[in-house]
Amino acid sequence: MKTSFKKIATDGVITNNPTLKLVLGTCPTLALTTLAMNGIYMGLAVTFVLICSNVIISLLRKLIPNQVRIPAFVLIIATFVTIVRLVLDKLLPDLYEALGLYLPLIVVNCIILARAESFASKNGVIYSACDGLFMGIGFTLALTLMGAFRELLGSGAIFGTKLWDFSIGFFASSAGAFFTYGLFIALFAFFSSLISKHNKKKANAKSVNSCIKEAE
Amino acid sequence: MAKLFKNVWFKCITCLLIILVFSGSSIAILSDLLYVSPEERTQRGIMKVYGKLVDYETIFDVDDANYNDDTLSEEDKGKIIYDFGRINKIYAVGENELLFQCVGYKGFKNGTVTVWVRTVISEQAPSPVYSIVQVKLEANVSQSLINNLGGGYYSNFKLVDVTEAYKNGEFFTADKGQSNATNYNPVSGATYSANAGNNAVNCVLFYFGKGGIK
Amino acid sequence: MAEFIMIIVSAMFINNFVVVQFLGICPFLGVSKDFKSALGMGLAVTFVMTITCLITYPIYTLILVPLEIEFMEIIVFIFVIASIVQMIEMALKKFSPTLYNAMGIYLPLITTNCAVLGVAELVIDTKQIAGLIGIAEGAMNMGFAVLYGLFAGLGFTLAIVLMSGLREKVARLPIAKSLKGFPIAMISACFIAMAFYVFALI
Repeated sequence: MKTSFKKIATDGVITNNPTLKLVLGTCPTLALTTLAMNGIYMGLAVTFVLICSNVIISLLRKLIPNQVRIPAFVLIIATFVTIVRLVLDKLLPDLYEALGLYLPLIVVNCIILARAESFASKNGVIYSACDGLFMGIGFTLALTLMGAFRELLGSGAIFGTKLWDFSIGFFASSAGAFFTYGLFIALFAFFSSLISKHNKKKANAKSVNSCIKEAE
Repeated sequence: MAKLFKNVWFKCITCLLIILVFSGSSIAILSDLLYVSPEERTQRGIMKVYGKLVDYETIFDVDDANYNDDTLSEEDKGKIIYDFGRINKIYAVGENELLFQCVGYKGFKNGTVTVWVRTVISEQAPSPVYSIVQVKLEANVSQSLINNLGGGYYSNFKLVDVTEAYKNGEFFTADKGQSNATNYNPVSGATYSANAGNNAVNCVLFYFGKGGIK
Repeated sequence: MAEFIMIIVSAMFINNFVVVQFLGICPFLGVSKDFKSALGMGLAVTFVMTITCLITYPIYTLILVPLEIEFMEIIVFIFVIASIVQMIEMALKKFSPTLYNAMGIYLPLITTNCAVLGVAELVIDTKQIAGLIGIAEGAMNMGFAVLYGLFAGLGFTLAIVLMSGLREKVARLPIAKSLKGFPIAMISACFIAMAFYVFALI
């Protein structure tokens, strides 16, 4: 299989979207989507760690013995998470508080380890960085969309600006988190099946047309 | 010797150790560069209220004098610890302002709400009259609906004479049925969190009502 | 005694790790298809969480804080958790092959379970934990930490067992194609979360 930038981009953001298709990194997705802004922040933090760890792991992929592969990856990821934590605590304390417990838990976020294991340990540095970037964008986009949906219905605001007084408490609660996530995965699956059906029909129509032409 | 270098386990352990040393040292250097001192943390909180850096003097800080310590007299403990909340920090800002950091209990899921309360002396004589001019959210524990407390909630706390309010039994409450509920301050959709916030501000009322730490 | 009861109620119900704090969602969704494996996973996680609290809390308070190297906490904790899981696996293999057969397949999954690292991070965050279990900030100690770990683990077990029961029932229903799999599991979880919601109002 040839790796191309276009394929990495569509894979990360759409076809293999880590949140909606692969259902990885569920904990921060459920916990931090009460506000759209928190979704963006968490997405950016994960993207940063994802790019850095992908680059380092891809650089070191030939040096790390196969037996200690996973511990070495976890060690590298933990280092970057600690760095993010230190930087945020110093420069953006509000953000540090908003992410709270979920910031150190980026270490055990399945997306990062999964990408390290399945992509960065097999591909070159530039491709890995690119993969990290687009997987991060896919994650951020999904989190922001869910955050905007829950913020709009749960507290009648979007990105912190109040739109109306009407709000449904359910969507801001933990039960609403599960419901929204389920709804988003289902919608994503529904639309992707529609699109693939459409593409198949197109392909079928083409082949039928060419058959008819040949017959003529 | 050559055999040792070719051993798989030797390779594994050296590899892990090298990564550990590298990451440990790089984090150590960064943490030195990005060190946040306790004073800076205090200033951050004060920045939230004033929007700029101000000179302050610490009257009480829970991080210096723990509630369980002997440094705090029983009388003073009674002024800062209540069964509905507690005062964490008291700073004197300038000549006639007091800034409190209070924690209110009994929020949603039995969690807490921490707020900053800024009080200003509005009349000097015969005895100083303190009024609450600003309340700002600092932190919360497990209040998932805290975002429903809009700006209106915090501006409702303005109170002209804090000691007078204590004497009259006018406390902030989210429960309309309660007697003396003159300062009724609920938020529909986040009643429990609003209750914890009210409790936090009530600590300040009690503090002034009991005379305050000298 | 009051604190003891408060820890149990808070860790197991009010602030249930899975449905309220969203920690350990991956095994909650992944290993909850049948009752038996859900119970096995739950008990394995409970065991590891308790041992983790027992080891990481003293490491943090007695080693990292006095040496002023708190910034190493993530690396140290993840290392400790990975080693604990590895050691339990080896010990089980040697001493109790039956238990190993029952629990063995879940053990490697536990290292990357947020709930375990989450509880280790939570019990050292004095402000947060004091608020959660209703004690003064300075009063946190080793005993509370281990108890919190144990009951948070039991809360996890409770949630995952409830979830497996619900999913066994739901699996027999006719469901739209795009809702199959994760979406319907999420919506089932939504109902469990609602059930836990009543504890929030205690």
